[in-house]
Amino acid sequence: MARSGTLAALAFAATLASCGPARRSAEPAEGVAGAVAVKPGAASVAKTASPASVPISAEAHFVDVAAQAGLKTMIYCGGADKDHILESVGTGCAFIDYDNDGHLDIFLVNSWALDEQPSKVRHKGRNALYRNRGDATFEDVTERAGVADESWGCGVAAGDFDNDGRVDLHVTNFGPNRLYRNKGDGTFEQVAERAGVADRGWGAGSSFFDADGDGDLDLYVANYIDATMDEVLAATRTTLWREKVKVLAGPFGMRGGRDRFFRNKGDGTFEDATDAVGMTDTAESYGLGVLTSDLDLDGDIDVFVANNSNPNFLYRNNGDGTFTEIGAWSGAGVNGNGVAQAGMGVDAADFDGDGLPDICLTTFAQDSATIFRNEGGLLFRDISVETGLKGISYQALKWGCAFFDFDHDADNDLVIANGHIYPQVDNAPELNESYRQKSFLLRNDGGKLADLSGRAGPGMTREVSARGLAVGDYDNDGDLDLLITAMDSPPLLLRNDTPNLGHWLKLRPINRHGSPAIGARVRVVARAGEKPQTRELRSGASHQSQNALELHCGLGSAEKADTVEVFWPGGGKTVLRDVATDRTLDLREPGK
Amino acid sequence: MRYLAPLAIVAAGFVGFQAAHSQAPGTSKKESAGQVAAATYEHLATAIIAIEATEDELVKSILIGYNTAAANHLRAAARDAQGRVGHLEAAATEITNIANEGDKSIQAIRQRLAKAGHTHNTDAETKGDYMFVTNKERKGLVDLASRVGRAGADASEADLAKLGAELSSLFHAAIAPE
Repeated sequence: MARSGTLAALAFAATLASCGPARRSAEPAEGVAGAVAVKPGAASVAKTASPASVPISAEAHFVDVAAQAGLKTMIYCGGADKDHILESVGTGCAFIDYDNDGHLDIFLVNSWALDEQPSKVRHKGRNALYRNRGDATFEDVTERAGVADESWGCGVAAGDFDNDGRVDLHVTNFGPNRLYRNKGDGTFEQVAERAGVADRGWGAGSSFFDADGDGDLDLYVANYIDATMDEVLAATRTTLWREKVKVLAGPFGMRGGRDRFFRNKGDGTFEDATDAVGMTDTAESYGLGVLTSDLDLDGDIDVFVANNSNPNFLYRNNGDGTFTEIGAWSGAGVNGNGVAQAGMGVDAADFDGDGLPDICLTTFAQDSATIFRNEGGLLFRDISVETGLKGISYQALKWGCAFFDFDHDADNDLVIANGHIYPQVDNAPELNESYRQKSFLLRNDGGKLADLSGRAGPGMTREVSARGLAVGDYDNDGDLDLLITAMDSPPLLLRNDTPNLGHWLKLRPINRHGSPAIGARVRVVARAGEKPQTRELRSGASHQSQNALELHCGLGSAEKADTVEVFWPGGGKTVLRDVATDRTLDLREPGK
Repeated sequence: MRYLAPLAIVAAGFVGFQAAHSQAPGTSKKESAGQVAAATYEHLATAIIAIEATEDELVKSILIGYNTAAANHLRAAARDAQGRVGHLEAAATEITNIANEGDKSIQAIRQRLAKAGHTHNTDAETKGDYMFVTNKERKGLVDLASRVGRAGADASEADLAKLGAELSSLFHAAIAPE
């Protein structure tokens, strides 16, 4: 339901007031208020006078710098043979600025290592928090920060649930989930039980969002499968994959976990309001990915849930804090052939430049990843074939995904992290599959996807069994980097070294409480009369992961943006004009 | 499902009776233990097959229920301009239920049965056809549901009648014996 209430448009003077003093990203000042980063060397890059929408010639180049940046945590996920489906789903990751210093920190979710024969727990991996020192290297602050949990971790989502201006973390587990309240002194307090969100299921994707427009963040948690650790340890491989190799069973034949919706009571606690708001998961579907987004641009947040092998859910927000599930006939519940896919990760962005967020869904091997084109009114159409995505993605097993403009040519490209769940496919070369796979870097060429994966630098040719993926500019050079988790491996940190990039803007919508304005939407017009670009600030997405709570726009050759409009979750709007590019702006929601 | 429980009880009772009867004094000496076992298993097989047939009929009746509801919503949409969009969305949901051979509650039941090894009514690993609705028919029904859902407040009576006729055609093709 649309909310009205547009605040006054601000002129250029207001822009300056809101931006604050400039500083170079290499010389970070304390605090982020008014932060402006300048991309080193950006001014020296020769630009043509082409419109912003014309692609800048850029050869993609990503380099894995995880080890040199100090990210050494081994991410575990079960035993070598992956006998149970719990050992297949992997863990997520997050770019967050937990200490509010303007530099993205990293949170890695970890699970356990299992021995085979006899099957037993060998090692309980711990989640890890890495603080960005400001020089693009990280220090492990896990213990000091109080987040060294040894649960079998799955996913992570960020948001300020208690409106104290600091970003908190929700971590899903195989077992009780955790809620880490950010105390603002570099440490966290685990409050899941007290807050009423220590759901004991097998949590997967989760997302904070303001479902009812009351100004605080509610929480959706997708639960995957009902299982016990005894079942995990006793599991044997019983499924014959493509008539060749015996592999783990499921999810078919297993009982799905019921998803949960927790309503924020406004006092730092939540209540389970799943049934009350119309989100009863009667299908007991195998929920994995969660996307919370205003998909019909009516001013409230809808919820898309990627279900593994069941039709996806699309919960339309009725505008009063209740939801109607319309996935099945919306066109986004099943693929264009009417078939429920093995949905894994999910993201949304305006892929085709029509102003509406389109959905990307990643899926199992021998099936296409899907882009559901948003045709308005929460109606979608599978455009995987016409974009070329089907041909590119069919063979791979796909997990984390994100739309992002890696080359600053003013459109949304796509990255997908891949990796099989069956190590046994390596024993049958005739299957033409591999457990470790390359990720996809797919450039948006006017609505067609070009696969750059093999020529996008050494980072994109790393073969791992990848799962989680998050996007953010960890080195504050203005382009978007990638964080990827992989099975039984340290993470990958793929620094974007693509040369000759176009101009950019990085926007940090901040609400009245001083925290990231989850649900805020920005519309950027590079030059008057050109198509606007839209971005939305979201908690949780991809595969069990959290992108940086910043909105990044590539602007091609435009040296300033004609207009930047911010649509605040509460209904107000801020307009900035003639915004200089190649910098980071803190956009503060005006007071009432 | 309520038809299945009594049938299962009767079948189990019958099998139990047969087993007890085979042990009772006075049982014909001409019947070997093997023959008795075979006969008992034969009765059990009959019961299993009957239960599957009952399941077929039950699912068919469920589909007929969805179809009836969808058709009713389409008719209501034609005469109720005010509530048209709501009726169209409800009709779209029912048509999708036909396509998926069940709503979300039925899907959960199928998953539970699959866990117990019963895959008569599920596409399970194969992504093949359901009991009645083939993949091709499912696509047709999902397409129709999408068009019904987006027909909108301005849909004319003729438009809705056409959608209704299409539903009828697709539905009867789906439940017809292959």
